[in-house]
Amino acid sequence: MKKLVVASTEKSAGKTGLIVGIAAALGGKYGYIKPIGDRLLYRKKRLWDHDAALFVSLWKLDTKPEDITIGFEHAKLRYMYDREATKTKINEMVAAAGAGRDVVFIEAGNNLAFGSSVHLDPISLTKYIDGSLVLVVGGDEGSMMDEIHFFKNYIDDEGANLVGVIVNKVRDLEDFTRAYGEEIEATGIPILGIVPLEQQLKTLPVKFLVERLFARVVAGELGMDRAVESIFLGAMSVSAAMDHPMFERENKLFITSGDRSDMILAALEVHAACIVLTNNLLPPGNILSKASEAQVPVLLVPWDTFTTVEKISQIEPLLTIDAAAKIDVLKNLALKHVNLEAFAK
Amino acid sequence: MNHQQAPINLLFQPRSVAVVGASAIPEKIGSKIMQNLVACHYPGVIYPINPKGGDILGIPALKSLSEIRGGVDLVCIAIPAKLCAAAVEECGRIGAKHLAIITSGFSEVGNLEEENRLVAIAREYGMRITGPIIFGVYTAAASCNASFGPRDVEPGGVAIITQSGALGIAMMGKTKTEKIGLSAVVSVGNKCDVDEADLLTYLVDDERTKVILMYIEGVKDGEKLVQILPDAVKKKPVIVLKSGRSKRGAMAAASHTGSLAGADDVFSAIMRQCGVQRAENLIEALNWCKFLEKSPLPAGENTVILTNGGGIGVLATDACEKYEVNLWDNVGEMERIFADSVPAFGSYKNPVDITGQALIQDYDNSIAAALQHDNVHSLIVLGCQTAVLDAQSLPATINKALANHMTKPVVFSFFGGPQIEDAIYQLKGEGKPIFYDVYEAVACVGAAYQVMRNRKIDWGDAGVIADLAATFDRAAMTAILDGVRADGRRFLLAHEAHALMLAAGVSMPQSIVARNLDQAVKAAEQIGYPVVMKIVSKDIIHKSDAGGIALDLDNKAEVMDAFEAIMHNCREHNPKAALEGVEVVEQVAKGTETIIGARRDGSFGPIVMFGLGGIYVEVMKDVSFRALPLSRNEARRMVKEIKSYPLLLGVRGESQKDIETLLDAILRVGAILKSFDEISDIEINPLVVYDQGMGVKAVDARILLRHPAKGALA
Repeated sequence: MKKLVVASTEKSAGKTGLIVGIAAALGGKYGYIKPIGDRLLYRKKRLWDHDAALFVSLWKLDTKPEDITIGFEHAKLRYMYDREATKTKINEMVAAAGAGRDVVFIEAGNNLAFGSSVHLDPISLTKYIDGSLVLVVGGDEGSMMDEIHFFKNYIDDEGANLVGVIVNKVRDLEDFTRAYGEEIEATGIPILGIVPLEQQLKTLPVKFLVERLFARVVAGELGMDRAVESIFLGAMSVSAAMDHPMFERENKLFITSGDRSDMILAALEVHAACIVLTNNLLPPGNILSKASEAQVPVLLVPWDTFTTVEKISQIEPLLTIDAAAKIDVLKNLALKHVNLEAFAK
Repeated sequence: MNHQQAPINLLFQPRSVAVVGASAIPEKIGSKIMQNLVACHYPGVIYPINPKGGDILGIPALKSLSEIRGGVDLVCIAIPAKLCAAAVEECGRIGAKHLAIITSGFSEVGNLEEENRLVAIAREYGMRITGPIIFGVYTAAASCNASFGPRDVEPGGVAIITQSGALGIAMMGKTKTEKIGLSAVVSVGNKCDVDEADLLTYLVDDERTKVILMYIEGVKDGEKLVQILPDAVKKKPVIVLKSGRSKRGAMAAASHTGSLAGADDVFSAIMRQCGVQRAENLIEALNWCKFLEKSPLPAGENTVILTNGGGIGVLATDACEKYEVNLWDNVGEMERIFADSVPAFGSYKNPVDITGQALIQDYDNSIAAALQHDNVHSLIVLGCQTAVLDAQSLPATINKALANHMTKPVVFSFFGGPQIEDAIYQLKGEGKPIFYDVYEAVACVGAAYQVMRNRKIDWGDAGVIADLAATFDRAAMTAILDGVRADGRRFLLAHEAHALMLAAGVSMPQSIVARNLDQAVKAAEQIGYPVVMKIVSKDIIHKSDAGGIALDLDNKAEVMDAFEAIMHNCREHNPKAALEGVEVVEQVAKGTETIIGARRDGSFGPIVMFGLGGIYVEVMKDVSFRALPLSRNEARRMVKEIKSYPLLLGVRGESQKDIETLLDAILRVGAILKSFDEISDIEINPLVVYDQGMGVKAVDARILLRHPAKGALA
C-alpha cells in the first residue's frame, strides 16, 4: 500500500481537489486521513472536518469522518498527545484507512510549518508512516518559485522521501511553463504536474453560502442550487449600477441593504444568482414574491454591507459531495496535467 | 435666593388674577380671558395689565405688573413669547404665585432654551408655571374662568386635565351638551413645570371633584405620576385618554425588553397598575366621567341584563365580557325575582328576556324587582322598538327607576326609530345614563366595576424593593460595574453578569471561567455533568452566531471537542477577536421558561417586564409591564396578567410552579435597576421556573450600561 502525504506551502493551494481529481482519474481504491483539521464542523456534539466528510462519502469509506482527524486546535492536541502518542495514533489511523486500499492519502496542514509544535507537520507525518511526500504549490508565480526553491533546500535538510511537486492553479499555463519550466527542472525536484486555474472550481453554491453565513432564506428557496461566480455590491444608485461593467455578468451575487427595493428589483431584472440583504432589513412582501417567482434566493444577514462583503470574500469554495460537475473537472485536470503514474500503487 | 414653592391649591383657589395682555379688543385672547372672568362672576380681584392702561370691561387696567400691591395668586400671560421672560421676572418681583402662560412659541417649536429660562426665573421666586401654550384655567372652587374657553361652564364634579388646548376647549363645550358639570379644567400644554402629578395632589383631596379625567399626549415625569396615582384612585376614579397609539418606536434591539416595550403598551400597563382606567376614545371618556360622577358603585359582582330582545341581549353579553362585567348566573333565584315579569316563553337566564311582547309596565315591574333585590348589584336595561312598547312612556319609567333606587349602578340602552331616539335624547339631556349603543352602556358599568375592584386591591408594600436591595453584596456589584466601565464597555460579559446576579441573590447556574482546555475539563468535573460551554470574549456579543456555544456536554471527551469547536469557530468568525477563554456552566434542567426584563423607560423611569420566555419571546409577545416601585402583590398581579399564566399553575397533570421564588426574582431584578443608576437594561432569558419549592434558575443574564457621555439611556 502506498502512503502519500500531500502537503502545501499555503492554505487553499488545492490539496483536496487534486486528491479527488487524481483518485478519480486513476480509478482504484483509496484511503484518506486528515490528521490536523481546519474546516471544522460541529453539530449535535459531533466534531469533524468538512474534507473528511467529503472523502467518506465520495469513496464510501468504512469509517466515520470524526475518526479521520485527530484534532483542530493546538491546545487540544497538546493536551492529548505527545510525540510518541501522536506517532502511534497516526500509524493506527493509516493502517485502518489503508486496509484493503491501494493508496492512502494523508492530507497535511495549511503549510509546511503547520502542526510542528504538536508533531503533525508534513515531514513528521511522512517519517512516522515511512511514506512519501507530495507538495502542492499555488498562488502567484513569483511566490510559487520561492516555495519551490525553499522546499528544495528544506527537503534536502530533512531527508524525507519526496515524490515531487504539483504546481496548481496556474493562470497561464503556456506562459508559466515557458518562463519557469527550465528553472524548476534545474532544482532537481520532480514536477508531477502543472495544473491550470479552473474558474468553474471557484463558484460558490448558494446553499453553501447560507450555511457559512448563518443566513436566513427569506425567498427563492427553489433556487438554492444556483452557483455564484462573482459579487456585486449594490451600494450606489441604480443608474450608476447599471453603468457598471460587472452589473450584467452572469451568476453574480448581489449584496445590498434590505431597504434598497430599487436595487433588489434591478438585481432580479438582470437574473442575479442570489441576493443577500444586509442589516436584517426586509423589503416589502411584493419584492420577495418576485424573487420567489424568479427562483432567486434572497438571504438575510444581520451585518452591515461592508462586513457582509468581508465575510463572503473570506469564504472558500469548498468541494461538496453533490458537486459532480466540479469533480469531473478535477478528474479531467488530473488526466491532462498530472503524472498519474507517480500516484498509482 | 430661592423662595418656597407656591402651594398648588392657589392655582385652584386664587384670590386674585392678573391678565398680562388684557385687551379691550374683543377678538384678542387677552380680551376673551377678561370676558370669561367677568362672566363667571369671579369674586376675587382682577388686574387687567395693558401698557396703554384705560378701562377693560369696566375694570381699570394697570400699565404694568409693578403697579400691583400685595401680590397676586394667578397671572395669565398672553403676550408674545419674546416678552414673556421679562413678564415672568416682573411677576416674581411682585410676589406672584402661579403663572398660566397662554403664549405659544416655546419648546413645541424647538425653543426649549427660552422655556427653560422661564422656569429658572420662576423657580428663583418660588412661582409655579402652568403651560406654556395653554388655554387657561377654570376652577369652580373659586368661580374662576381664567381661560379663553367656553364662557358658561356648569359647575359640577368632573375635573379635566388636558394637554391639548383645542381639544380641551372642545371638551368643555361637549360637557355642557352632555350635562356634565366641571369642578376644574386645567390646560397643561408643554408642562414645563406644573404637570398632571402636581394637579392631582390638589384634585384628589378636593371635595368638589368626584372624577378626574386626564387627556395626555406624552408623559414627562412618569415616576412622579406613578407615585401619586395609586393613592388618587383609592379616593376617586381617574380616567385617562391618551393619544399616540402609533407603531412601536424603533427601540434599540439590545434587549428583548427594549424591543417589546412599545410606548403605548407600557403606558397602558402602568395605568392599569395604578388603577387608572384608560378610555378608548373621547365619547367613552366623557361617558365614564358622567356616569361615575353620579352613579353609586356596585356592592358586588352580580350584574343582570334585562332585555326585550334576544339579539341585543347577546350583544350586551359580548360587551360584558369585553368590559369584565360578570353576569349573575343564579337562574333559580332570578326566576323567583322575575316570576311576575317574564312571560312563560321568556327566559330567566341572564340576559333576562322579558320578550318582544313586553309592555312598558313590564319594564316597570322587572326593573323594580331587580333593583329591590340585594343580590342584584348592577342592572343593564335594554330594549328594542316594538309595536307594543310605548316609547313615549320610556322617560317616565326610567326616571322612576332612577329616582327610587339610587343605590346601585343602572344603565339603559334602547334602539329604534324616531320615538325611541326622542326619548333617549330627552333623557340624555337630563343627564340620565341612557345610551344609543349597548356597548357604551356596558362600558360605563364596566368602569364602575373597575373602580370598585381597584378600591379593594391590597396594593402591598412597595418598600420590598428597598428591603431586597439591602441584601445585595453591593461592594461586589460595584466592583464588577467599575471593571466594565474601566474596560470601556457598556455591556457585561456573561461571567460578569453572572457574578452580579449572584451578588444580588438571583439564582444562577454554577459557572467557572476557564482560560484553557485543562481548566475547562477541571471546571466541568467540578460542576458536574452535563455542562454548557460559552465563549468569553468582549469582541463577540452574539455567541450563537459565532458558533460560540455548546450545550449538553456529558463527559470529558465532549468537553474537549466543544472547547476545540468553540475556539475554532470564534476565531473564524472574528479573527481579530480577543478570546479570553470559555465559561463552563451547569446545564440547567428543563422547566417553564420565562423572561424578566428591566429598563429605564423614557417616560416612566425604571420599569420591569415579565413574560413567557425563550427564543420566541418576540414572536409570542406574551409579556406584562410594571413601573417601579413594585410591591409583591403587584408583582403577583403582573405574573397573573400574562396569557400563559396557566402554565405556571400547572397544566395537563403538571405540578404548580414555584411562583413565590419567581416573584422574588422579579423584585430583585427591579431592585438591581433601582439601586444602580448606571445600568440601563437587564434581561434574564430564560428564567427557568421549576415545581413549587424547587426554585428558579436564571440561565442567561444580559446587562447593559448607560452611555457615559450622555448620562442617559443606552
